[in-house]
Amino acid sequence: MPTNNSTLPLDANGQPYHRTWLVLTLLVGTFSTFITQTLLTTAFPTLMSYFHISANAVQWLTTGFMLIMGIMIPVSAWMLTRINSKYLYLAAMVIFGLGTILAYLAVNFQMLLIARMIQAMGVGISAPVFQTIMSSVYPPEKRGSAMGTAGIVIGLAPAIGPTLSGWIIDNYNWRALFLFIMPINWAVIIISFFTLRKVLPTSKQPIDWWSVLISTIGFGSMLYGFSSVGESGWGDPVVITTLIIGIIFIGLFVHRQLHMDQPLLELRVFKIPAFTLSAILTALAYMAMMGVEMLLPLYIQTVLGRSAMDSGLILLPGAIMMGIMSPITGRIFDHIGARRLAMTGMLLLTTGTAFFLSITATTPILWIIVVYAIRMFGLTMVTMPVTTTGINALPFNLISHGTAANNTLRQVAASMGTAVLISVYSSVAKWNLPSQQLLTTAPLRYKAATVNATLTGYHMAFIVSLIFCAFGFILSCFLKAHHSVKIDQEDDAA
Amino acid sequence: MIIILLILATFVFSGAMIFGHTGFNRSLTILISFIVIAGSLIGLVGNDTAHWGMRQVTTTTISDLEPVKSTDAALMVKHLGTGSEKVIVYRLANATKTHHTVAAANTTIKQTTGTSAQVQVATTRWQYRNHFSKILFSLGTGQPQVSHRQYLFTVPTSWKTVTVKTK
Repeated sequence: MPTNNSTLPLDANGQPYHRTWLVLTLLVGTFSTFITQTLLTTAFPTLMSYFHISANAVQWLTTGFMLIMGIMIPVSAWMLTRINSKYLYLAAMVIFGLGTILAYLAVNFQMLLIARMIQAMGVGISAPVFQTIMSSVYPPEKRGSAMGTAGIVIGLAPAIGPTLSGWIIDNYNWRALFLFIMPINWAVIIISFFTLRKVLPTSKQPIDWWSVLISTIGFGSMLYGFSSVGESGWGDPVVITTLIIGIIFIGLFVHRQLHMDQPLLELRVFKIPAFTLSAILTALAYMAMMGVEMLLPLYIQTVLGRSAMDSGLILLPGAIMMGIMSPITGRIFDHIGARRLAMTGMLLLTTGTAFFLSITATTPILWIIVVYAIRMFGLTMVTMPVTTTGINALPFNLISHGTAANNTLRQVAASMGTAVLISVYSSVAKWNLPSQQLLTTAPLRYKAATVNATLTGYHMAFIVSLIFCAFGFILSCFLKAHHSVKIDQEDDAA
Repeated sequence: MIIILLILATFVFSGAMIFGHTGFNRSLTILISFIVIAGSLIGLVGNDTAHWGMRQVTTTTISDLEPVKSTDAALMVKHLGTGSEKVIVYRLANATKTHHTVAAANTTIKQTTGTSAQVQVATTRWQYRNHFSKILFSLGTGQPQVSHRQYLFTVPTSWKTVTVKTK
């Protein structure tokens, strides 16, 4: 992004600042924190033997992380209206940095888990703050490119995480996972003092502690419920109870927000149809993405018998595709709006997903790599452009609330999508498993039948994912053509 | 080839969908490229699940056997489970190491008696039907898949088979 030195943009205090440096700081900072979301997945076996803990326990290093993030996001909108965005981002980075040091020094599992939660608090604040700043510091007609650049972080970082950690674990040890982030993190903190500015106006809005409490219980409980579905199933009393508590408290939260003059999270943004449509569409795209990102590595490891590191590498081209395409689709969005992009993306996503309905134990890796990359190619055309259309439909002072609302919905949808896909997979696979008797009479046939049962599970889960995609495609047809501001200006000029 | 076609069609499709000027040409390009995308995917799936473009080719090898230890322990059988599934350990003539039959659900093992000691291995693999189908599908596919294997052991009546306990 070139800066125009003659006309530097002005911050909230009316002082000129260098936007490129500000954005660069945010990009590097957020990338290094966002990558830790998925950084530990490949390290689970190592951590299990190091701390002598079960697979269920180690899972919490990621599940707990997502949970805290989900709780922090709704509060982030209030923070942005109250706190100088420069210091808010810095605080988030420092919290994350402290969590990282603690994680590096962890002597037992409890300490590591607490350290991860602290990290997640930092990420939960920095992620929506990053997005809000990115869409606020650019004029609307450049917002697509800006959000596209932001998409590199949001799409690429979590996808690189498992591969990078696989490589680090193979060559060093698990502590190195945290060690390598530290210098980047603290460098960003120091540089932030010089490059970040207060770019959003703040007001002394009091915080409504009841809303914070209700939202924490509601989203915490619901996300906990969804993430427990994978191992316990929908019938589990804990799952049912936490989901019901989650629904009730989120209901209370919504009710309270809609009846307050200055709510914690301005949910009235959903009264703007263009914003709501974009929010639902992004949520659907994330449901389609996250569930499959969870299922494919499982398939590659259990059915094709590859290592965790391999499965990371197989999915890497798709992730890189997203990183490359995101700024490009952002730029295209600035010119033609989201409709054509989203329709194309959803069609590619749907057709790409259809391929996975019939994967076998002998499907060539290259085919999976290519079709997965096509799927990601499609997703890139949907996620950030559609998010930007939604943001563009909002008045400037509601961007932080819109971003927080959108992120919250996305987080809930992604965890729900993952829960649905994983549970469809595991229950269908379990249903089709051969009888235990076959294991004693004919172990070879038992093994073949087990692989088939697992495959049937994957096929059913991908059918569900296909339904999400197809529904998304239908919705994308309702996006307005030429929504972008630039087109309107050009039309006026012509 | 199909995989390359798929990638190209994806780019053409996206380009026409996103940048094309509304009109007949755009619609036609979109339609054709989408048919190519769908057709390619169907082709890949057909090859993967129903062996499109493939045929089964059986190669048979006959090798002479020597007893693994002595004629009292000429062949060793490991029973897998309580049913008929098993692995047979055998030794080829002039070989020092022993071989064993491939333990897989698509392996069948038969034993008969005869004058000479032989093992006949008939391996049926999926091969490309012709050069055209090889061009279409071969990118990315690895070794030809084994459809099934059949072992036929012929040993003299003096050879004894010993049962080995598994594990």
